Amino acid sequence: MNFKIFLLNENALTISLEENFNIESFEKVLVLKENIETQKWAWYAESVSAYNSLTIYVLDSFYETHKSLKSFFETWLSENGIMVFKNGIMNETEIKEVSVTYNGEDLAFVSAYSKLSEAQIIKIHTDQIYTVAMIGFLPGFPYLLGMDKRLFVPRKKEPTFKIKKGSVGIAGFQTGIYPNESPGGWQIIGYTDLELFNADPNRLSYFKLGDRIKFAAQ
Amino acid sequence: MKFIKKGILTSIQDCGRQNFQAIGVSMGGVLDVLSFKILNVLLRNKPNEGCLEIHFPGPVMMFEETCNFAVTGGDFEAFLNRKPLSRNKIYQSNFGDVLTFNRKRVGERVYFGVMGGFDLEPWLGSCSTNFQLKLNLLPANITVKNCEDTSILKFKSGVAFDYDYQNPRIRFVSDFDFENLTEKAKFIMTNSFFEVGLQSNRMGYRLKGQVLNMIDMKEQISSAVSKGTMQLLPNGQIIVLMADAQVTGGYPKLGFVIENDLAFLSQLGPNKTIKFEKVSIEHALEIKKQSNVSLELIKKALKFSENAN
Repeated sequence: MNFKIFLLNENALTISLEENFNIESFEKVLVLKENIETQKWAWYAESVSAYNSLTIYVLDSFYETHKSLKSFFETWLSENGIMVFKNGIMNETEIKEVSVTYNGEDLAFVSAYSKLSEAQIIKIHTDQIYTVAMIGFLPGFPYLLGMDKRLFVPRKKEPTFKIKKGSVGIAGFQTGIYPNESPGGWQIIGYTDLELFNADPNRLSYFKLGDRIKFAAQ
Repeated sequence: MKFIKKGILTSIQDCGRQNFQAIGVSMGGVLDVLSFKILNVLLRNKPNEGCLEIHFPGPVMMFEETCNFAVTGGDFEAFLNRKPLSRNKIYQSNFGDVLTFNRKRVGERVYFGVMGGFDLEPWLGSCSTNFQLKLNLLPANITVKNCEDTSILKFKSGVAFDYDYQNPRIRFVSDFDFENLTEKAKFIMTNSFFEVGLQSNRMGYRLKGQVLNMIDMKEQISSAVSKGTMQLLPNGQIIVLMADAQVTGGYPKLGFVIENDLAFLSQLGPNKTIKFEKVSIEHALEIKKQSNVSLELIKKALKFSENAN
């Protein structure tokens, strides 16, 4: 397993898989995250996963017992590497359905760019099952893997100042949903009423990593 | 105490909230960590007791209680009624006293705290204001927690210390895509000045300097970013991420500004110039250690003066 380790700051490091990202690389990241979490290191704070990388945050107390964050993980990975990167069997979780009204402001642009009719776009977007591969940008914003190539479109040249809460967007290979009003550069194809983030500590993000999603046209 | 005026972007801050970056909640927290630590040491508070982070124009506050307070960080010419206040010193308020900030002299941020701390409701383990979600925003009134011993005499003598808030030297550790910079770009980074851009705030500091180029522009795949991360924007300029930055980013990363100097950077405003100095991670950790040692020395000196009184 090839990987590279980078220091993000004094208390954080990123383990990056040296391969193209796809559902397999994402599964490896999830397995690595699970493995690290089961170590119960007293100085472990949290980890943030992305398509093909995992970033581990540690507390200051790490340095009471260790000298170098990079060497610690280099050693740990070389001793446990094959095991921790083993492809996990993704839990076949229930599929969360998201109802979407496909009347986004950029549907016409997407149609012109992809040379697909709006009806075809909706059909293609709702046919796939997506996986939540990353949560970031805004609290609860799910980055979804699994979009059909025919819908790959570039981002907007200039970000829009206000993208509405619940906007369903596409950009490059990704699709996602804006949990809150925000500036943004993705092409908006529809809207959902689903609440993606709630400040109540018992609720917080509606989606979690690895969740499977299917869109349904309303 | 009551806010007669709230000021621009006055917020409640502590060390911020960790453990929720995985669901997209940024850490937040004070920008000038050094001044924050000193504030709580001076006030004999717990290290993570919440305070106010103040920008200019600052708030106008009326005390409705007797309490011991201090201001640290930048110098905005704080006045208690008509009495000018010094930084890094303890003062006592009486009912009806008014605290104002009259002029921006040094720095970009001032920290105001009270002995015993404010009575605040934390969200996800932190009192820090989250502007993005509009949570833990500054209330109209802020209550001071009951403090058993407010006898100021015991605490009055302070210790003289001052950081060089206008130090233009910003040290960083290189990593990630730094080696992918052209030799010329690497030279520029450590040998020329960068200016703090107008769009510099709690999310990030946009710098203006000579354009930096990469040897090859690979497509970037988003990954986690954090306080201190130096990203190269498509226009060849650097942005240094601050406490309210988003948790993931897709621009090339050049490394990070060390924790100690990120505090100094946050005290430099638009048009100020900085110069980067590349250091090793070992050096960065040594600086972090030294900064904790200095804080312990200040604690000891304060303890000593308490006993002497």
